[in-house]
Amino acid sequence: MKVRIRFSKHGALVYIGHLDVMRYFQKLFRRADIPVKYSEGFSPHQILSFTPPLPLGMESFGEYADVELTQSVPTKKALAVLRKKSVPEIEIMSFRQLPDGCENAMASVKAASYSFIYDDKAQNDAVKDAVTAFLDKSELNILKKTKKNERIINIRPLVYDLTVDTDAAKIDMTISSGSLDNIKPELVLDCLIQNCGLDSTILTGSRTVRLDQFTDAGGKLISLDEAGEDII
Amino acid sequence: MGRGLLGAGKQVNGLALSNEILMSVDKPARYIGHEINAVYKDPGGLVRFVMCFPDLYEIGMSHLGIQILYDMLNSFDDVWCERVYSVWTDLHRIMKDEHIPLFALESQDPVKDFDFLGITLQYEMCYTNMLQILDLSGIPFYSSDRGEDDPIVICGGPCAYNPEPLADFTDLVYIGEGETVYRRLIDLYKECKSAGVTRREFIHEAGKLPGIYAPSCYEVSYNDDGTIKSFDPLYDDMPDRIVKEVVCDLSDTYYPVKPIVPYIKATQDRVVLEIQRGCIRGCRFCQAGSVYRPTRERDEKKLEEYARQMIANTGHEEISLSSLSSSDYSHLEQICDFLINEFSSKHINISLPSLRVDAFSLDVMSKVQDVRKSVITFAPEAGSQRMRNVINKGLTREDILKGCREAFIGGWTRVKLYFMLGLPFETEEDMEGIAELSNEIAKLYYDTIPKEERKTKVSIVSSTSFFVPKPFTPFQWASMNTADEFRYKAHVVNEAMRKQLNYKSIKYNWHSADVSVLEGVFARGDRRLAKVLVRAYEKGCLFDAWTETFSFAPWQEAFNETGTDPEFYYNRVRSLDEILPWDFIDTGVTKDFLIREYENAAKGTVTPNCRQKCSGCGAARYKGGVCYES
Repeated sequence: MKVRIRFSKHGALVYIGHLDVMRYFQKLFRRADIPVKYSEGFSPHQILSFTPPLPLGMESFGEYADVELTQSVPTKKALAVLRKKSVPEIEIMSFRQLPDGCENAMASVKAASYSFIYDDKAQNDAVKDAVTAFLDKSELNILKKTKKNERIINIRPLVYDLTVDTDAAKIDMTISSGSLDNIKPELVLDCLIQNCGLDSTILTGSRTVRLDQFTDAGGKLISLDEAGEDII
Repeated sequence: MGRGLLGAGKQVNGLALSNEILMSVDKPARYIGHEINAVYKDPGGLVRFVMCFPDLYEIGMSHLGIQILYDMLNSFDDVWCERVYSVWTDLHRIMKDEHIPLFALESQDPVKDFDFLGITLQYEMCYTNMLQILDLSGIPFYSSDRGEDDPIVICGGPCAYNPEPLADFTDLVYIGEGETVYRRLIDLYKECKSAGVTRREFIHEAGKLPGIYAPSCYEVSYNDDGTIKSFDPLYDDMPDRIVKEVVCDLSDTYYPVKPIVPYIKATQDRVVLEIQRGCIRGCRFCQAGSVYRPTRERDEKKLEEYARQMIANTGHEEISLSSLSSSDYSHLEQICDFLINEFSSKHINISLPSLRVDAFSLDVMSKVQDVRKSVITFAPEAGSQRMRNVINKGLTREDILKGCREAFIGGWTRVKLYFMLGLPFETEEDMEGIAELSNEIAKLYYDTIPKEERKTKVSIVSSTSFFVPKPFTPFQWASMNTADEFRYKAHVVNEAMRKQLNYKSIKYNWHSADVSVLEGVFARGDRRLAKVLVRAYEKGCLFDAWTETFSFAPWQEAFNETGTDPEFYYNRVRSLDEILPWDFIDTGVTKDFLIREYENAAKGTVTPNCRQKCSGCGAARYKGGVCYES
């Protein structure tokens, strides 16, 4: 059976990389005595799949790992032992069984939500104006650079939600993510600055937090978490 | 756990370094702490100890000794022991430029605010890294320049058996195994602190504890030829000799069953089970085999229990045995059987280094490793049998060939061989013997395995390191070769390799001669080398054990500018009656024994191992271990 685990990565642990997180979970499962299924062959390894790497330095409260088990463990029991054996900065938030044939964590990600915290309420009005200008457009072309190439893309249809929380001095956004049309929150900020008149000083002292990741369930975005069910 | 205590100088992330800095350096996880099993305490009223391994985090975290001391010191309710490692050159520059003080990983508090800074010295080439630790911490290099607020700097580890090159930088040196005297040292510190005595007085008092050496309480004078004339305590109440501390009963002592689990991959990313200390073999070049005498074993049943607990507490996927010579452990078969039965089905790999290659070890290895991928390792150390007798390496040509034959039949095709060049009494024949032995093993493969059964060709990798004479070995008086001599010898071996029939199956590697020469200088150095180290550090020498950061030119300048002749330290033959810088340390092994062994080496006479026959080395005074096996 396949189980999906949601976890956070925050505090000092934002400085550990994706491979280290993977190794961390392999060791965590052994400490917690979770009956993880191993691959066949001469050097068996845990059957484990993660959502795409979180950038180094970014906090997240919506990271996912899918893991195959050899036998069922009730959610309540698994959460108790995993939390006890984990560090507080990697908090195990859920442990849910996936339906058969469910796409793995890596493949199922279609969108991700972020908060861009600029932390300066004096900027609220300027931010609101820029966000309004952004939402008013149906086409916003911006240069997207990847390791391999760079090209102009229309970012507007890839931004599903963009709101300003003036009390917390932050911008919340839900944007396309995953293997198809992956964009980063920085690109949205670039666009707000380049195309929507926001001053680049907004970046000074700011930070971005990943809130959650989503999959497509019949045309509707649902949290990766909601794809599974608690094990009683 | 008292995490999140936001002390002075902390960033919003609770760390000593800002997000901007952490994001700009390589592997920031080296500097954040917060690992599984790291110990956090409320610092109020505690003696604050920070233990340092002066190399990168990944190296230092792999060291068992620190884990043992960390566990022991934190088991004391009145002590909080934390860790600090060298910072890589990228962060070094930032910390220097921005005046950021070096900090301990757990509390992220500045090292300078601690009561003790403990530094383990595992190899000579980390000495400049020790200066970096002091420098970045804002602690004066020289003990004599330190004030009441500076931590007590205490060194230990194998290089502390000749602490003299670092004597001026250390307040105290712990000679021997750490488990025994730290409790008394901490108690003395607390007494002295509450009595309001000065740092100087504390150091003086601590220097009277067993195994503790206070370099500032001793005075050295020199003859005109540069050799030591006298080495005496400055005060009547200080001991003339410092006797090494030993844990006599290794089964009834501390063992770190909750070792820290790093996030980034450490060199030793596994559970380490120390099965014994010391070695019965008595190889004449080996310092560890001498200073860790007498050989003491840990109880096999206890080890089983430790292994279970450590796997459960860490989640590591590999367990390894640790000792100088695992094959000599009396209960090797039982512990191997236990590991295989207990862990193989749980997807935990078992690694068995330093096993002699024989029918038993090949059988065990075939159970725990993929034979096709694994390598058979021998350390003949010398190419000819005559030379192996000189160094008392009890491994014969027949042993090696027999082990190889069995390994080839068992399916192994890769053999690694380790040798040394520059050993005392070495001739060209001995050097060429390295190539000949390598060839013989390759030939043995083709003779043993019929053509139709060969899946691949045999691969022999022969490596030579350059011999560095070490204190407390029978070769402590010997001359070490110059870098040019070393390079010539490597050339002789390389030429001999090319003449071998099977040279296409053999790969030959040799070490850097310059690094070996420096190691030779500091291994047998004295107090006058302190100024060389400071000068070299000022010239930017750091991470000298790393090929990408090592540069010999600044060292040469440091020697020249301080008027120091390195050859005096490494190349000169010392007379048997010379006062050696480390003579004041008593490791149990007597100088008479070392002289006897030096003479045996000259004659090529083999000395039996401790279990065959006691050779009266002197270690029996510790009343434990192999000396008292019935």
